[in-house]
Amino acid sequence: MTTVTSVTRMAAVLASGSAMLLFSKVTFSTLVPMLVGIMLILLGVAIAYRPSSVLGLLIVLTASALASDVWTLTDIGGVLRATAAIYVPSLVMAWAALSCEPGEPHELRFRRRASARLLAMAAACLLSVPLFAVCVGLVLPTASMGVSTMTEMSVILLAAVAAVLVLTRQARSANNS
Amino acid sequence: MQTSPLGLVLLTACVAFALAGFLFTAVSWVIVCVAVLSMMAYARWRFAGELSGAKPLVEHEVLDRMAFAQEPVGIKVRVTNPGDETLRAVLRDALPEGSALGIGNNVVTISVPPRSVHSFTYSFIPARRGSHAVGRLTVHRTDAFGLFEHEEEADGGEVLNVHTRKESFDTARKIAGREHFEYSGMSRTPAIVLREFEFDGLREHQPGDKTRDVYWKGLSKTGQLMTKMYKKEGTLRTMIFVDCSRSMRLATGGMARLDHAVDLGLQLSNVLLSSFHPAGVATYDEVSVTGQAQPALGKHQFERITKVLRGTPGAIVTEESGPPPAKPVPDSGGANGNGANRAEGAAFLDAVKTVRFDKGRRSAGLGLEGIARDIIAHSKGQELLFIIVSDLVSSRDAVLATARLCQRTGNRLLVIQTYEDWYAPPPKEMDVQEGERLYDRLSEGIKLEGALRRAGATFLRVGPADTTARIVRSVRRGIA
Repeated sequence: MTTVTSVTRMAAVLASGSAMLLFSKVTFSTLVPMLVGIMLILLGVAIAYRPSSVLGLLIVLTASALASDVWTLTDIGGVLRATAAIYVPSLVMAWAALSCEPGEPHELRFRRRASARLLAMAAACLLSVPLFAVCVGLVLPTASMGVSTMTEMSVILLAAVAAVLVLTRQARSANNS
Repeated sequence: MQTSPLGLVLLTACVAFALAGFLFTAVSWVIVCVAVLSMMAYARWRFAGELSGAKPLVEHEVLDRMAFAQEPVGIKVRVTNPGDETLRAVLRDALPEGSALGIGNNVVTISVPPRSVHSFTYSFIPARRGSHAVGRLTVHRTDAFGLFEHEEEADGGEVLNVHTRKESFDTARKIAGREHFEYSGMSRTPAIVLREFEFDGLREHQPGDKTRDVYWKGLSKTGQLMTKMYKKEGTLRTMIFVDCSRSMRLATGGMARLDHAVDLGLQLSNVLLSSFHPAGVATYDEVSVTGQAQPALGKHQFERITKVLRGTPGAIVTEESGPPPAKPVPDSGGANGNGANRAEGAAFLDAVKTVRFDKGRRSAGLGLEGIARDIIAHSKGQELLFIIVSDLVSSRDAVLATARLCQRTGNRLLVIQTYEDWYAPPPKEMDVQEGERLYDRLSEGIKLEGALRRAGATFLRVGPADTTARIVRSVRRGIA
């Protein structure tokens, strides 16, 4: 059985960090915390010390949110940019940072159900705003052009919470049966 | 399943990112929030799958055949992982109440591969005699990302009866070879096992007498050959009754009277057996006889007695502060309340309710009186000795009735009273009220002693410092 080694995790962290830096407006004030955060995560992965990784993760996520130039999710380009620049790298970095723990490394086991639910949740969250705009456009064509950033954020958060609740309930009923 | 501290930190971060998004009016903050939320949701779903996939099977094994108070008892825990997932968990095997950890560790971190077994061993030291619950294993599991925790109690668990301290057995063995329980006067029953002869008198030498029986010292004084006469030493079938009522079990700061009674019963029975008196033991509480080993001889009789005494309930430890508990009302032992043992008290009251009364008298076959009557009926006219170790609180009437029964049937009774005030810690301040209380109780005890002596019983009042050897000597010398 394949095990996830620390080298694999480090490579994942570096790849995610590169993607974040590549798609962001990097200034000196965001570059320094991002590099410090990545270094902390790498240190945590190397010595199997989770607190260091989590601290680094929070720093990197904050810096990437500041540096990112994603302003809207109403168009597909914005959705793709948000996915490639923030969502997927953040997810991968969180996985690498959180999975380092002392002791034997966990086996790399693909869990079909959990992964499928994760994909469903990602799709529901990231496509919620375009879908919302389409729905509003169908009902009120003039109002669809004026979807504000506040509305977008509210829709994403509502979609995320609803997806978590629905999918978790499904998982519970599947486990019970 | 519950969220771990790390999970709470990330959840708080999620909320902070969402608020920052609204504060800075930037979608990127909310996307970061959703990413962290997705990670947490994934961790939860994955952990739920792990939990359903690897349910451990736990077996406990007590390694020592007999457990003694204040002696280490070995426990082996075997955890089987029948699932397809590796079982990673922290196992915590709860120690019985009031016990201390001996060798090894009862908290272990394990990683059991699929379809394999992991075992660990440790020992604990029970502080007191009585029943101890072992095998309460808690399985604490954390998910691979450290965001969620799950704690469950494994099935299983058993009750381990811990015997009295090992020193008590050593004492029983030592005094068995040294002390002999000789009741004043010869028994009506001739000895089955001839251990020794009792000197009876002298008579003139007759041809055919054994040379070793000739009284040689008398020859020089009297000039006559005399022969020493012996007769067989009698044996007494003896039954020891140990009172296990709630008042006997109370340990208010000091030693529980029941613990002392068990030690006395154990040691007295060994002394009796070593003197070739068939001995047995019975335990009783307010309601019924809880254990019994019929009087007998033989090399396994002491084991049988030990087994019965091992089944006696443990002590009830109460707070030391304040005056000792008031004397319970006879035949309503636990009703006067003990906060720490409410459940036990309720069970006791339920048991009392089931007792049937016929025209104000307890039905035959119930408690001490009933079993004494039963033994006498089956004794085929053999003389019996009953030894009752009791505090005479809840079984006072039953003991008096047994004394009268023994008097009527020509059997003997020795009552050893574990005197309540001698087992309680001394009062911090002796005021007039306390002095009057002690005096009243002592005068009541003396009246009861008088009643028992009038009924032909022998009476001894003992405290925690009184040993079996002292009791045996007192009986032999007729002091009791």
